Amino acid sequence: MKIDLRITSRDKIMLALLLAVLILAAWTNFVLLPFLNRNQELKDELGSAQASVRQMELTINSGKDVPVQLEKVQEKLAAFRADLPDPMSTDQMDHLVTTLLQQYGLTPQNLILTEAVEKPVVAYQFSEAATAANKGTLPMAEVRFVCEGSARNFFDMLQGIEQNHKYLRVLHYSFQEDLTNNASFDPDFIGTIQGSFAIYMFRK
Amino acid sequence: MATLQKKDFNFYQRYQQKPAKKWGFWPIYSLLMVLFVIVASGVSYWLYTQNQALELELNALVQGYLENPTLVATQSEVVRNREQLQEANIQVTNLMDAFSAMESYPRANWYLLQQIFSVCLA
Repeated sequence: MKIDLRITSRDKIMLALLLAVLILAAWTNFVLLPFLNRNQELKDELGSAQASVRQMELTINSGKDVPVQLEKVQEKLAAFRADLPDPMSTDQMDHLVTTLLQQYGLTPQNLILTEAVEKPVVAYQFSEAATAANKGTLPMAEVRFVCEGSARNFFDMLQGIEQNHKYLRVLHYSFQEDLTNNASFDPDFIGTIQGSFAIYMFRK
Repeated sequence: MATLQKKDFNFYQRYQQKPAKKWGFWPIYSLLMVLFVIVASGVSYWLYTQNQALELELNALVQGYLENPTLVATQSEVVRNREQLQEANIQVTNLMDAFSAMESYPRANWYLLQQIFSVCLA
């Protein structure tokens, strides 16, 4: 059987149409789609960059008054800071309480100190602060003391604490005298006084 | 025997006449290919210029803002200040709450002692 290899005009037309389709496909695949993809990528990147720029401008514009606010808050913080001591070791607390007692004419006999632990400051149960939802936390240490001296000196010390040492709070105290049956309480009577302080410190 | 005679309608005569001139395949094909090349080049060029313009715009934004050392430093400072402010606000709120709780207790002073005695002796 002999195969006719001559290209007829119909074959030429078919080959020409095939060539046209191939050219169209090649242009779409190698030119049009890459350009369109790159175009979309660039649009996405541009959108993202514009959003970043807007955010940057917003941040910079809205941050103009931040230093002033920061200064005010730091002033407040410094005012609080002035009322609280740095975290103290037990030796420092010992020195503080001993000096305080001696300053008001009381003779310290025994001190029991605990390490400072950060805990919420519990408000007086009958006060408005007791109903507050948030409780401030501060490092707090407890000091139990036994000293000798007069009630007058002791109350003078309490007055001094109230005025000058806001970070100290008297948790309890007792005199050895029985006040319930002694109507003639003598504030200058020298006796033994027991009590405990809470020492609040600044949290760094 | 019938002879060929001229009649009103003759296929042979019709066959001898030149057919009406029509567009062939190759002229149409060539025209379409030329049109395709023109349109494809136009579209490709338009997309290329679009991409170039987008790239220029993007580079201008990046270099003018996002990589501008002055603006980046300003933004960082603002962010740092905000963080400090937030932290300081938390500390102040905490201290206000703590002081409020500390000051809620009745003070153990001479006034309190007098009150206790007045109640005890009454």
